[in-house]
Amino acid sequence: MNSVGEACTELKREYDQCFNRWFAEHFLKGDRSGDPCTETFRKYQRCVQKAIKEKDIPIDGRPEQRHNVDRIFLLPFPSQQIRSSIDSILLWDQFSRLKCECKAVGMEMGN
Amino acid sequence: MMKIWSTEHIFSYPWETVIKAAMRKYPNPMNPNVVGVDVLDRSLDAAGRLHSHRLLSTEWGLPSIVRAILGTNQTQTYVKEHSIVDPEEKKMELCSTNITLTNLISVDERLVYTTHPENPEVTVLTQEAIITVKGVSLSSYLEGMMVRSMSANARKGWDAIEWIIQNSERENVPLCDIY
Repeated sequence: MNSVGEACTELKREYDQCFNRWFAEHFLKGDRSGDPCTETFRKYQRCVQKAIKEKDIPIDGRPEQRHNVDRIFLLPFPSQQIRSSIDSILLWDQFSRLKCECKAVGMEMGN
Repeated sequence: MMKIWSTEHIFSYPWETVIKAAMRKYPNPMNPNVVGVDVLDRSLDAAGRLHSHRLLSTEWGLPSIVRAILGTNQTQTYVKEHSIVDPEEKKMELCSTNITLTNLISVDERLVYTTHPENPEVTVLTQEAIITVKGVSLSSYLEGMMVRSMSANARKGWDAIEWIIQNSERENVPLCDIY
């Protein structure tokens, strides 16, 4: 699994492996001692926080800038154009899911 | 306008096995849209419970015209997740909420994994979501779509846990104790 910041993926893997081992072999067995992964976590975190800033991810719940979504929601009923766009979202969703299901059973779907 | 959706599922595995899989849920073939997972914070509280705060990024591959309608330039959406694992009570609680597209929709989900009260070899997952669509006219249309989507995604989530349990030999940390 990749990190949200691509450059942090290796650090993430290192931390995850340390954590998963501690979690399974100590924490779940009632061992209350702290996990040995603090140093790995620190390095990993420095990278992730930088990536979050760079990508401007609103982890602190800052309200998002409003785009032209208001116009859609103020209409009394959906216009044909919007309905067909919604249909294309649904179709796309179904198509993507079908593609994944087919791939999972070893079938390829054409584009 | 809000819609509440809930479901319950049984895993035929003991709680520890399911929890180990849940903590390592991604990647898995059932959730290909989840493209990034990061731990933001982790700590033990005074009661010995493990708190984790995670950030997930999902890629839906929305066509650009759809993105234009939704009013977003981003191709990825982000979700924040807080989980609490109580190894004494054998309970894991997980709450997640989207932090992007919040001016359009809020999906707040809560999952609780506990040992079945009558059978310690089996785990119960109760799952609920509150979906709030901002605005009025499209809400029932989108709500219906979201509920169908949630049910399908929940099934994928259960399959994902089962898949992780069965494929646990990767990463050399077995989920099941071998004696």
